Amino acid sequence: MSTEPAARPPILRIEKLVKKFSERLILDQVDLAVQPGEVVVLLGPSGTGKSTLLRCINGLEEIQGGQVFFENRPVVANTKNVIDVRKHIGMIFQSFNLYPHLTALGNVMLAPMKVLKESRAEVEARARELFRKVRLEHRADAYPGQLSGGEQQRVAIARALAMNPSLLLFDEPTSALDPETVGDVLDVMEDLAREGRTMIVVTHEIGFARHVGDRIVFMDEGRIVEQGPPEVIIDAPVEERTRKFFGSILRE
Amino acid sequence: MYQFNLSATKSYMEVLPAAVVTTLLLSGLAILASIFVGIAGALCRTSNVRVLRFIGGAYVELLRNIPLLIVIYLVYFGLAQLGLRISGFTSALIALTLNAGAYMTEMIRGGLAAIGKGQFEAARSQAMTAPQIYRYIVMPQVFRIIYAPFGNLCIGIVLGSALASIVGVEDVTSWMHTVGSNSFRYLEAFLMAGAIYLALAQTINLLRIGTGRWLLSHSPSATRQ
Repeated sequence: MSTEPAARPPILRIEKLVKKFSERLILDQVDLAVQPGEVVVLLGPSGTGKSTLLRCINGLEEIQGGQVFFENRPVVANTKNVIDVRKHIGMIFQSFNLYPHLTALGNVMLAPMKVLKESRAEVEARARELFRKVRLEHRADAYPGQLSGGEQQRVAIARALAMNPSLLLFDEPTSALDPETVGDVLDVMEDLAREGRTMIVVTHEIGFARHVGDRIVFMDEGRIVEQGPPEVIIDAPVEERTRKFFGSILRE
Repeated sequence: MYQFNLSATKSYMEVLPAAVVTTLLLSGLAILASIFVGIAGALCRTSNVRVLRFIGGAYVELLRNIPLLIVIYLVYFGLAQLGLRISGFTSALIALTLNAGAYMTEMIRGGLAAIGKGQFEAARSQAMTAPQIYRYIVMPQVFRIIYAPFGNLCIGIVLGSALASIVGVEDVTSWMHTVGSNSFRYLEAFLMAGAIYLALAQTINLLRIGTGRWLLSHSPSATRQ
């Protein structure tokens, strides 16, 4: 069966995106298109704008140039339309950002009930299902403060999934975790990738990028240096900058 | 030697309940009004708009650094000078609210500051609107943080309301003065009034402790505050 990936309309299209913090240029003319079902991993040194790029996709950051289209709708920060867009984009943060006054279950159920206005019974059934998926069915009634970092991050993933998003953004999901809990979170993310979810992942986990990523986007100093399949970008990159980056981290 | 005789205050007892009600009404309304002032003030203090931040800051500094007694005089006599005749009760209520509102502002601002930026981002990423974020994320957490200082502030308002008697409000303190000057049983009157304020303050204190216990049993995360 021959599939022409370019023939399908991308779920996300970023054109000539420019982001500045006051006068400092963070993202410089970034172009990126993501197909439905694709797992895109953003790699690159710290401070090169990977997280900022992620935050421009759901309008958490205002952009100074270019455009972001999600499902062909423009994403513009601080507008009413961005709220609609966010209903379809789930985000997972480095520091989990769970709501500390709610139980794990409460965290997962809040937005579907209050934002999507779904009934409690409907949402709870789905939430319980999600707790099974992230392997935390026994922790649903715990408060975030009683959970380990890895557990909190898996609750955060369940919270994002509860909105039935068509795109998931992962912003360094394992960077704040103890080494032994990193694997649990990566396992859940791998399951999601296998289900065919569309994901954009900012991470420093090269192993995950290699095994789960469909495409690696290597960024440096606010630009996309090169992109392609993991075996090309990680093992046989064309650009000198990319080679230097992977050369130094793979040596560790 | 002073002959202590509490029964001398007996004949004034029948007007005492009305005085207690006045004290309760004055401080209760002041607490309620200062909550709204405090929320508005805290939103000003944390606003992105510079002018609002300045107004909020100036209000807090001004009202926290002028004795309540002088604020009461300023409202009562000052507004009268401007041709606005308002009752002693209303003047005292305005002055108490202005004073307590400044403390509420700082208290709520502190509560807001304790909520991590990440909470707001997570809620925004889940398509919550600003009012939803305040209602479901911010308010419940701020409440957990400030309920204890809030209880103390309420006690301060009840005790501060004693100053209202100087502009003719017939509250517990005014009752005390009447008993003292009519029966010359000052000491008894002072002790009676003191006991009433003590009872009111302790009631608030017990409510505060009860709230804390309830919060503790409903969310262990409150213990971390």
